[in-house]
Order: sequence, then C-alpha cells, then structure tokens
Amino acid sequence: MAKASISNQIRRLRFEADEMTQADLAKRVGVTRQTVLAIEKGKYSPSLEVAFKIAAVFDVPLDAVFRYEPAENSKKN
Amino acid sequence: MNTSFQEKRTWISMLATAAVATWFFSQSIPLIFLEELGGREALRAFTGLSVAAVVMIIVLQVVGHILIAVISKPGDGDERDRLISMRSDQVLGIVLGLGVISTVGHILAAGFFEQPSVLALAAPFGILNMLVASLVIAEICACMTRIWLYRRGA
Repeated sequence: MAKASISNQIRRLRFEADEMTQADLAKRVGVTRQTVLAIEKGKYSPSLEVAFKIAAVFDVPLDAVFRYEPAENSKKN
Repeated sequence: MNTSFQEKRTWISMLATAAVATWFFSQSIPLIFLEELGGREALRAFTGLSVAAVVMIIVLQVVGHILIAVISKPGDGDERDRLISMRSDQVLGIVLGLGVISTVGHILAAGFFEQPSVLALAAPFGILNMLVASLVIAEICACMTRIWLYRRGA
C-alpha cells in the first residue's frame, strides 16, 4: 500500500518572507531548528498546533503551507 | 554537523553507559565463576561495584552535559523530541522485557542442565549480572534508536 504524504511550501515561504532563516522560524514557532529542518524536508509531520503557528508566522492559511497528498497522487508524482 | 542539544545529550548518555558498563562487567563477570556462588563476599563486591558504577555514570553525564552546554545552546526540546523519546522508551521496554524473560529462562533451564555456566548464571550473583546487563543493553538500544530517529529526521 502506497503511503500518503504531506508536502509543504515552507522553504518558498521563508524565501518570500525576506529570506527568513530556519532558526528565526523555529524561534517564532517555539520548536528547535532541527524540527523546522525535518518538517521542511517532509521527514516529520508537525502537530496541528505547530502547523497553525507556522501558517500564522507567514500570515497565510494552513493549506497554503501544507498540502495532503493521498497515496495515488504521490504515486503519480 | 547538524546536531541538536538533545541528540548530543543522547550521545553522552550512550557513551557514558557503554564505558561504565564495560568497566563494570570486566570486574563483575569473573566473580560469577568464583567457588562461592552467590556467596556474601561476591554480593558485597557486586554492591560496591554497582555503587561505583552509578557514581561514575552520574559524574560522566554531568561533565558531558556541561561540555555540550558550553559548545551548543541548551534547549528544553519540543514535540519532535518528545515523540522520539517516546519511541525510544518503547524500545527500552521491549529489550528490558526480553532480558528479564531470558533471565527467567536461565533460572528454569538450570533445573534441566548440568553445565556449570547455566548453574552459575542461575545463582543469585549470575542473575544480578544478567539483570544489570539487560538494563544496560536496553538503555544502549534506546539511545541508538533515539540517535537513529534524530538522524533520520523524526
């Protein structure tokens, strides 16, 4: 069974937000820089609370940051 | 190297545990096969070694944590750290459980086998060593799991 995945736009959003660093984002969200790195690489799916905090930092809705990709779509990509 | 404070702490704990366990068992295992199995002297020596090992682990960990706190910014950890800790604790529980079951198996096996090694491990002193070994192996497995999860991302 193919695994669903959650993609994110954090890297792009950071770039557009005056090239915000991972450390800055981590500080504002209240996690470690390593956690931001893991989320950005898609290796760790954050809790809803952290996901909303990240969206709030960039002042965008949640689905502009994270996108759920069901198994079939991930297979095609 | 992209290593968090929590990961460095795990490395310190694992290395301290491995180093002290190596010293502890190099002193303790020869005592298992002494003539007086489970004798008072062996148990007293074992108690002394245990106290010394606990003190050594505490000292090594405190010194190690001070050193990593100096070279990297200490942090409380976040939800990912807690998730990793929870998963590694599961591994610790499983390995420790297997160790205890193996120890019980050795005790029961002593009723069926005549080999000196089985009898020695079934004596109180041998049992103590097997239980401590289970604890050490479980702790090292938990640390390795934690490091692997940190390296993998989550």
